[in-house]
Amino acid sequence: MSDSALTFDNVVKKFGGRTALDEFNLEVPKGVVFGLVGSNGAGKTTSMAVATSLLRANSGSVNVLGLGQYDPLLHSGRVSLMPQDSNFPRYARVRDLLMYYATLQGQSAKHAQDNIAQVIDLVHLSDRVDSQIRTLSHGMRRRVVIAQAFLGNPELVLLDEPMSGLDPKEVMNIRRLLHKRQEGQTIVVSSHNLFELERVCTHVAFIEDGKLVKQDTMSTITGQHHVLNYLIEAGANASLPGLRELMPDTSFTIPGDGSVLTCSYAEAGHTTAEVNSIVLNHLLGRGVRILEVRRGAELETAYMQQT
Amino acid sequence: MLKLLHSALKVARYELQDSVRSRRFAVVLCLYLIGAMLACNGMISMLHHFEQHIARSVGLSASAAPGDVLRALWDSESFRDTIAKMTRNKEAFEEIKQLPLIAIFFGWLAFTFTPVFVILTSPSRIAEELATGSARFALVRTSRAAWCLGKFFGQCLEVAIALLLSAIGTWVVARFRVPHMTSAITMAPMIILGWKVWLCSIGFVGMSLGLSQLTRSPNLAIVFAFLTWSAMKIISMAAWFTDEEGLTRIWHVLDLMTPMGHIADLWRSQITFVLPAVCYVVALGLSYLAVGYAFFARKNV
Repeated sequence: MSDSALTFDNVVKKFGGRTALDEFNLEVPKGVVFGLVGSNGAGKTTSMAVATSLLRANSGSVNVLGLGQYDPLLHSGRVSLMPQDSNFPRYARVRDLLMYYATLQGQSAKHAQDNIAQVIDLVHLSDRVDSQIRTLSHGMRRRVVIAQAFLGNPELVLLDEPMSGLDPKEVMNIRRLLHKRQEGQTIVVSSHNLFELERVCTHVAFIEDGKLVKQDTMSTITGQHHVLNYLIEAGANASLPGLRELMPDTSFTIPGDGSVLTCSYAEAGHTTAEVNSIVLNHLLGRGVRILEVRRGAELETAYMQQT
Repeated sequence: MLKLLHSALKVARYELQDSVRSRRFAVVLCLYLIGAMLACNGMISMLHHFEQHIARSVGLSASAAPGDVLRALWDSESFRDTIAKMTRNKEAFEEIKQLPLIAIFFGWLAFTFTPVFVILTSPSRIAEELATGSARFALVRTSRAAWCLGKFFGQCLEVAIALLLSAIGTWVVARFRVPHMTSAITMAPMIILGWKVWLCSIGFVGMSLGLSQLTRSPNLAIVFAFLTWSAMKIISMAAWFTDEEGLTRIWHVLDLMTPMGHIADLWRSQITFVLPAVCYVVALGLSYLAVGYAFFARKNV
């Protein structure tokens, strides 16, 4: 039994002369929230469409839930997709549409009714469930698109830019939804909003020009277990030689305007608490004013460094 | 296979529901229905006017209701011979002649205009979903084959609704305008003809949805379907006006590859003519659909 929910193996996808995925490799472990980060046209949307066989790859293979290439009759109900720029039929009613999708993925009418009530409640649209799609605002339509992706609690959910077009309250709601996902459920999220991805994802991959640049856990990528950043008053004398003497196996740097002291340590050597205790004592002893202590770098910084 | 059919039926049910709700269907159906009723009314008025003219010409008293003189004319041997020569098939004419006039008129109207109805409503169904991207929501849940087949079934059912309504509309108009019309005797052949027209329309639905799979533009799909229907009409006319000899035989062969080439047999009442024609038009519809699917199956959605 495979431990991967989704695997891309040397996948190539071309649109005419343009290569959207260039020998693309990716492995999404089961039961994680996986973020896909990349610039416009990097291949995030294409990879999701290839994963669900909406786009045919030119070469390479995709393995979905260990069952091989995506086959709707085999994977239906176990995998779902929230496409980025797809619209529902304008005259359809929300309930009818969700009932259609639920029954199409194998749910009985009775079960589908209960399930629709649940997913519609998740996106706070219970009062609009009998409305026609054309009467909903853009944000509401996006919420229906999110709701359909969670019908039947699929094992693998692919969300392409789920936060786009949502108001702040709904963004928070979606974040909460992703946090309290079903046990064992794998969620792949592509987004440009790195701040949101950092908050919801346990794993992340950087994609550029159709290739995988880096893939790891969020904590490793952002250095949450081996980097501490101290925001200090600019111009304060932190005495780096003194710190290096105290912790010779640790790297200390103060880049830029001198307002951030970055401490990189080996995870095996010290715990975060130990390092923090030594550094704070040293800084406070020297009268350095500390404004903030932050674990790891921001995802945005990590992304900019890697790409 | 069973799973595919099961999925196709679910798609068909929703397709019918969604299609009937669309503005395009409502407009075209209204036009079709009103057109059928007005045409029936016009035909009866024209007939009555024609009969009165004949009656005056031969010095008889004008008939009170439409159809009296024409029924007498219909029964005259010389008139039948003339019409049989026009239809080039006396045997076929003798069978058709047994039908009530209103039923014949309804059959002619339905065989002529149902393809137009199909061309105005069906070709956009797949193209539109590809254009808006709504197809993606269904295509991650069911196979492309089941989806296309479901759309096909749904559209066939939609045509059945239109035919049923137009049959009822035509019958109601005739019932009011022709007082001595025997309701049951007229209704039964109308139902049988409606059923045959529906079977014939399967060929056009297949053609429309086959073309719909080739493009993301609903309007372009309708244009494709209209051009194909026009080409079929030209082939049909070429076959009508040429003999089955030498090179002109090609028109007759091509005509058999269109639903129009089987309409004459569908008019017949003998099963030996009707059954092969039905098999042909259904097979043609599925073949057109399959040709479009061969392209769609490899297409990026």
